Amino acid sequence: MKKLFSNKSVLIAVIALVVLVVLAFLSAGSRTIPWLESTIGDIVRPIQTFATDVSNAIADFFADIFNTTDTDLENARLQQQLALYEQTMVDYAELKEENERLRQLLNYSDTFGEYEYVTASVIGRSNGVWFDVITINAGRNQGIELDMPVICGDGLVGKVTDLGANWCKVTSIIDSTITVATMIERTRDNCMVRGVMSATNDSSELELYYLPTDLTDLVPGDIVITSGIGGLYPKGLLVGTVKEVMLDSESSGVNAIISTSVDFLHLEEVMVITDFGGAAE
Amino acid sequence: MRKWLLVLFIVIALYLDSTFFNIVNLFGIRPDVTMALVVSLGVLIGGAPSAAIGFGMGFILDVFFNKIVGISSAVYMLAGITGGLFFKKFYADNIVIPTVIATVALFVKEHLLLLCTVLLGSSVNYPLMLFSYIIPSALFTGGFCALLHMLSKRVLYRPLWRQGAIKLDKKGEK
Repeated sequence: MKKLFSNKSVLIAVIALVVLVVLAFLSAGSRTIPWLESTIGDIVRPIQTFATDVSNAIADFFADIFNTTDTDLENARLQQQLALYEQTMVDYAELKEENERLRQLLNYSDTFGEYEYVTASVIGRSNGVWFDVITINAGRNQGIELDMPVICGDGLVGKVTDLGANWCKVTSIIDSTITVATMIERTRDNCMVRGVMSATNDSSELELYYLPTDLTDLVPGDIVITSGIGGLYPKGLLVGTVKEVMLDSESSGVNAIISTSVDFLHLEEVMVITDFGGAAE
Repeated sequence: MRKWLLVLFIVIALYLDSTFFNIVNLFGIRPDVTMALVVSLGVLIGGAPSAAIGFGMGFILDVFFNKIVGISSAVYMLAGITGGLFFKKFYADNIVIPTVIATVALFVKEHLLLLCTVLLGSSVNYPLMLFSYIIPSALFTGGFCALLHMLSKRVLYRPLWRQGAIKLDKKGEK
């Protein structure tokens, strides 16, 4: 053992391991990121923004190919003539989609006029299936603080869990370690929702539990919104709709499966609500 | 000059891991490029430099993308050290060793992450996750490591050796 630790490399590796394990424990919850991590993030952020744009372009390119149904060779000549036009249309569609997304975001924010918010772009996403964390390009310098709720045009996205100077990490509501206080819009019954661990990273389902009333009141299609209990999220944010009511809820504890209103795989712009009046101190 | 190739490999691996394979993957199954690269480098250039590279790459990924900082850094560092145990001991052409190390290391990494999610309060269907995600991902990464090792051996190994960036003694010249 003494001989092993006399090896400088092994000793450094062991010290690094201990530091990393301590860091892992410390970083498991919400936290303000130290200056070193924040600086590393600031350096990586523009590169990551560029990388995300490139990836989206590549994905869009292949999506366009697979979505094309008219591959008749007789149309090749016409297609060549139309290439420029199509490119213009692609640009137009891209702008239109962006405009639509931003308009949707604006309309959504209009319904909560008393809120103050910061708009940000999604520039990264955690790899693997264990956690669902997105990185956005706004942070402490833009007025964002820990635990602030994050929304998009379709509803609730998650909350800020790690905060850097000009970027932050948002743990989405589909992360299996996050619970959100909610209610059924129609019946006004309070309940909780939690992310579902899935073997694929395209899960868009939540588990609904702690529903205190008779389950016969709950039907597929019911809308689930935030209840505002706890003060972490404003009341009335759209979370999703009931997809399936669980009949054996007593054994599993789960009352229903919820389809999220947000398409987390295609999330591009979000809004961080910096002040909604009832925020928990 | 060829050292820039190593930097390029690292940048590409970070890009693929952090962005590309998040969008393009096989039902959520994706290779861990950083793991594959670090293990391959461990076998090719030794434990200490590859452990340092693994630590750095893991730290960047942890800080900017992952929920828990330290897990990836630690596992990548250990994978680099493990790969380094076989440095100069086998033919660099041997792709079985890095493939096996990458597969096992990813298996361990995914179990550590699973443990973290459980400790943070998640309920996990272990058999489902094991057979539908962990094992396929580990095998995918192992296969990817085999391909990457063949590439990095050609692109990185010999040029680095020639310019003296890697010190090989006579025994190490295979």
